[in-house]
Amino acid sequence: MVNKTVDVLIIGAGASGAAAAWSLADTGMHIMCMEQGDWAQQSDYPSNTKDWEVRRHKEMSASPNVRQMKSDYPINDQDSPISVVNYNGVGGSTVLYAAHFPRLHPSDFKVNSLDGVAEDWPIDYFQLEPYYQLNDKNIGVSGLDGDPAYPDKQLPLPPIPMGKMGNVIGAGFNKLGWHWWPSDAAIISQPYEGRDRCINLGPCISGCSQGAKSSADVTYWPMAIRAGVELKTGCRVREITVDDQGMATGVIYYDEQGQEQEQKAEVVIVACNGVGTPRLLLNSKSKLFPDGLANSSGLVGKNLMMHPWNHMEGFFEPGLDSHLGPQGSCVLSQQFYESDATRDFDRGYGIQVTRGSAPVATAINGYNRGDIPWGDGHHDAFKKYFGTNIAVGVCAEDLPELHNCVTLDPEMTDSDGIAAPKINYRLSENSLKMLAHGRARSRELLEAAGATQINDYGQIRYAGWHLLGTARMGRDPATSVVNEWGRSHDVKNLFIVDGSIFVTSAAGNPTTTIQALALYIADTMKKNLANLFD
Amino acid sequence: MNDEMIKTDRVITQSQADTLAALLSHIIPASQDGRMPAATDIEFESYVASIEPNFAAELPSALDYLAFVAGSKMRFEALTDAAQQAAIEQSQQKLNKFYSILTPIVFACYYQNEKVLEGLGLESRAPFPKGNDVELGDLSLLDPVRTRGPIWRQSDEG
Repeated sequence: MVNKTVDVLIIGAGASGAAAAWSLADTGMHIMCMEQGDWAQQSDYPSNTKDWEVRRHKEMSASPNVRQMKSDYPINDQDSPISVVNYNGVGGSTVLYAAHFPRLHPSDFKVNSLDGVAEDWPIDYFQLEPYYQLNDKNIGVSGLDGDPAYPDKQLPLPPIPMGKMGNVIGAGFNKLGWHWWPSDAAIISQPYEGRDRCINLGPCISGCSQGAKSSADVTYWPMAIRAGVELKTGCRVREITVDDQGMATGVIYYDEQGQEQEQKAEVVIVACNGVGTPRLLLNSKSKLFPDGLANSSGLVGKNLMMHPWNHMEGFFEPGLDSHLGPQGSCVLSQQFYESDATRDFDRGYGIQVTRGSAPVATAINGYNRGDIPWGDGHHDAFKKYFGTNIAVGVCAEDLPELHNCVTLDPEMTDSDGIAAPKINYRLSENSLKMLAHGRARSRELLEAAGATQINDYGQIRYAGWHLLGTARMGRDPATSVVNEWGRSHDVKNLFIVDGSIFVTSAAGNPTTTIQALALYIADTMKKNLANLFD
Repeated sequence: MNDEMIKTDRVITQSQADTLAALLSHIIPASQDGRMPAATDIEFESYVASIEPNFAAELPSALDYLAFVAGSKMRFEALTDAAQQAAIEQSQQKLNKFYSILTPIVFACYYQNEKVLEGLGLESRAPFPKGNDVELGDLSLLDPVRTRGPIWRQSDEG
C-alpha cells in the first residue's frame, strides 16, 4: 500500500529526529516521523516499584540483545570489546541515557589542524554554539556557569546536587590542582516548562519516572506534535527508495502488524544514529546504488567510534550516601581533555565521577569482588561498602579508523527479516595508552580524596552508548558521506542528522552535540528551501 | 507427582525446602543484634520461582545433591552448623556454578526485602514518587578551579 506523499519524512524519533522535527515544523510543511518503537510510559519504569534494582537489568536493560523488545533489533557485537547499548522507541536512547551533557570543545572541531590526526570538521564550535544554546533552552539543561574548560556559556537551570560525595571528590581534585566542575546535565533541577524538578530517584539510566530527565519523548516530541508533526510509531523502515535520477522517493517499511507499506516523501531525513543509520543505508541497495545508499565514498558504516571507557571505584568512610542522586551525573574533570605533547598518545579524555551503588548492586558486586562473603561476616562487610563508593570513569576520545565498522550480518535478522548490524571494532594503540594514562590518574584522584579501597575494573564492555562517525560529514565527497550541513553528497534530497555524521568523537557524551547538529542542519535546510536540491 | 509436593505452585519438595532453608542461613545468617533477618526469612522460594524460573528448575537436583553429600544418616538441616558447612564445602566441586548463580539471586531477594531495608535504616519503597534529598554540595570548593582560569584550547592554536 502506498500512502500519500509527505514533504519531509524523518526516520527515527530519538534525540536528533525529534530536534529536527521540531525545528522544521515552523515551515508549515507536512512532516512525518517514523519510529520503530512505541512511547515509553513513565509509569512502567523500574523506579515505580520496589524491585527496581532487578527490573533495570531485565526489561529495561540498556542492551537490545538482553532487552529483546519487539521494537529492538539484534546487534552482532561478538567481534568487538565494546557492546552497543541503546533504546528503540519514541525518544530513542535518551529514554535510558545518563543525561550527562558536556559540549564539545572548540579544539574538537580542528583535530587535524591542531594535532595532525584524523580530519577537521567542516564546521566549528562557534557555528554550533547558538544551537547548543537553543537546545539547552528547549529541553532544560542544568549546570553551573563559569566552567573554565569552556568558552563562556550560560545554562538555563542551576546545577543538580553533587551530594556529600561531591565535596569529598572535589577536595581530592583540589589537592592535585586539577580541573573539576559539577556536571552539566539534561535533568531539570527546578520546575521547567510544565515539568517538575528532579527528585533524585537515582536510576536515570532505566528511565525517569518523574519526567525530570530531559529525554526527547518529554521535551521535543510534545512541542513538535503541537506544532503539527505527525509521529507514526511501530513503523520499521526496511529501505529508502530512489528514482532513476538518484533522488530519494520515500521508504518501504513494516507497520505494527508486520505488513509491508510504502511511504513517499519529497525529502528524507535519517536519524537512526551511528549503528541504525549505516544499517539502513547499507540495506537500501538499488541499481544506482549497489553498495548501499549515499555510499559512493565507501565510508557508510566505516570509522565507528564508541568512546572506550575505564571504570574504577573508590570506597570511603561511611556517611557518604553516595547511592543517592542522579546516577550518571555528578562531577566532570577536563584536566586531561586537551592535547598535551608530553604524553604518549594523541588527544585526551574526560574523567567522569558518578554515583555509588544501591543495596542489591552493592551486595552482588561486593560478593563478586570477594569483599562481601557468605556467613557471619556478611552484615559488617555490607555496611562497610554500602553508600561509600564513588565511581570514576575515563571517557577516552576514540579516533576514527576504517576497520572499526558497521556492516550487515550475513545471517542475523530482526523480527521483520531485515539484516541486522554487525560490529567489527578493536581498541587502537592510542586508546590503550590513553586508558592507561587515565587509569593511573583515576587512582591518584581516589587516593587524594582519601579512598580506603580502590577497585579497577579496566575497560568495560557494556559502554557502547556513543555511536559515532559511520556517515561522517565533510566537504569532499570522496572522504565523507554528507556535506557540511548534513546533505548526502550522492542523493540531494537525503539528509542525516544523527551521531553518525561526527567527524571525530571528542571525549564526552555526545547528545548535546547531536541535538545541536540536528537543529543546525534543520535551520540550514530552512534557509535553503528554495534551492535545497541544487 | 512426588507425594511430598504440598502445593502445586511449589518448585521443590518439603525436604528440599528444608535443605534450602538451612543453606540460606549459611549464606546470610541473622545478625547478632537481631536487626537483620537471615536469608531464611525472606520468602526466597516464591521469589526465585517468579523471578528466575529457569534457575528455580535447577534447585531440586542441586539440593538433593547437597543432601546426598551430607550423608544418609541424618537430613542436612538436622546436622550441626559445622557439619552443614563441611557438606557445603564438599559439594563445591559439583555445585560451584550453582552457588555462583544462587548467591546473587539470594542477595537480590534479600536486599529488596522490607525487613532487611528497614534493618539498614532505609525506607522500603520504590524511589518514585517520594524521591530523595541530596545536598547541593559545597560550591566554594571550586574557587581554586576558577582562580586558575580558562583551560580550553583556542582552536587557532598550533
